[in-house]
Amino acid sequence: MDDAAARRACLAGNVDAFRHFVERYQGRALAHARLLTRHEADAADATQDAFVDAFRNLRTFDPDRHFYAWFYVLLRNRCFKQRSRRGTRSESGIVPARGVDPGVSEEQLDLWRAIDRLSPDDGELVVLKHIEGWTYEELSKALGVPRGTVMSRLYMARQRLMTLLSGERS
Amino acid sequence: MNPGTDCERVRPQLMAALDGESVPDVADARQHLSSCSSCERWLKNLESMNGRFHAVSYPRSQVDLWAGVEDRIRLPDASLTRVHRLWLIGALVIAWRALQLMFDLPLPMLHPLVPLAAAVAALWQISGDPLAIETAAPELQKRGV
Repeated sequence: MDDAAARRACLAGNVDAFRHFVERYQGRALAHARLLTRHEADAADATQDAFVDAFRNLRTFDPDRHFYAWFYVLLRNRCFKQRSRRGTRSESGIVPARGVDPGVSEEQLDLWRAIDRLSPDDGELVVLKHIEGWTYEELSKALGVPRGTVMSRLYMARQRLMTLLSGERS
Repeated sequence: MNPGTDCERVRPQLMAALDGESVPDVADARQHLSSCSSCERWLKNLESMNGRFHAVSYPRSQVDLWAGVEDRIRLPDASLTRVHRLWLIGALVIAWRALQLMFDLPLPMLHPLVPLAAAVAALWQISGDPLAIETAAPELQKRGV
């Protein structure tokens, strides 16, 4: 089942069809929520809340758009609410644990460690650009900032990441 | 070596061009690049870092959210959203004022605002604080989830 078919089924009253969205996107949504909240339980809560929001607002999702780009705005709002409730306290990093994810290479771990040391905003930009492969236009829409701001913020975030990675090498 | 002012100006443009984005002054930036070894090195470092991301995927998660999501989406969404609550209170105020003007009813025992305040308070109590940040479904909040 693709996203458009799942959406149609949900709107026709088939609640089970929403499972498609949860199973397909929860992995990356949780990773993004962890990045934004830096708190394992908050990330899970925010992601669950965002899926519930998505279900209740599914009618506003344009099936010609990519589901995750639409969903990400809901997720981001939920993460910020969790963050404002918790204050600046962060309890967990985003680096994958070897025990949970044995397939992860040492090079990947280095990258995740470096991203973990970036601010949540910088980390978000780097991940959305490098792993999601979003364009500046898509980033601009999702983050609600002008394209020029995306470019300058991404430049600064990458500068910091390069510094962190070169520090790890030396 | 620290980059000069020109370098700082052109590097975001070089980065955007490397990302495949349209950049208005890219010819100018490329001209600078051809004569600046510092920017050339910087761009190679950026390309190398970008290349490292090709093999990166999201950490695997053992959390499955479906059960929690399903519980909540199967419940009827009887809650009023914050916007709806504000609209309702606004409509109540206008309706009350309209009734006062239309019928000009004297309410000698009560201040004219008391019934309105009672209605707003009752609505607030029933459907929740219209100014609250919505973080969970009200039915779950009531259950203490």
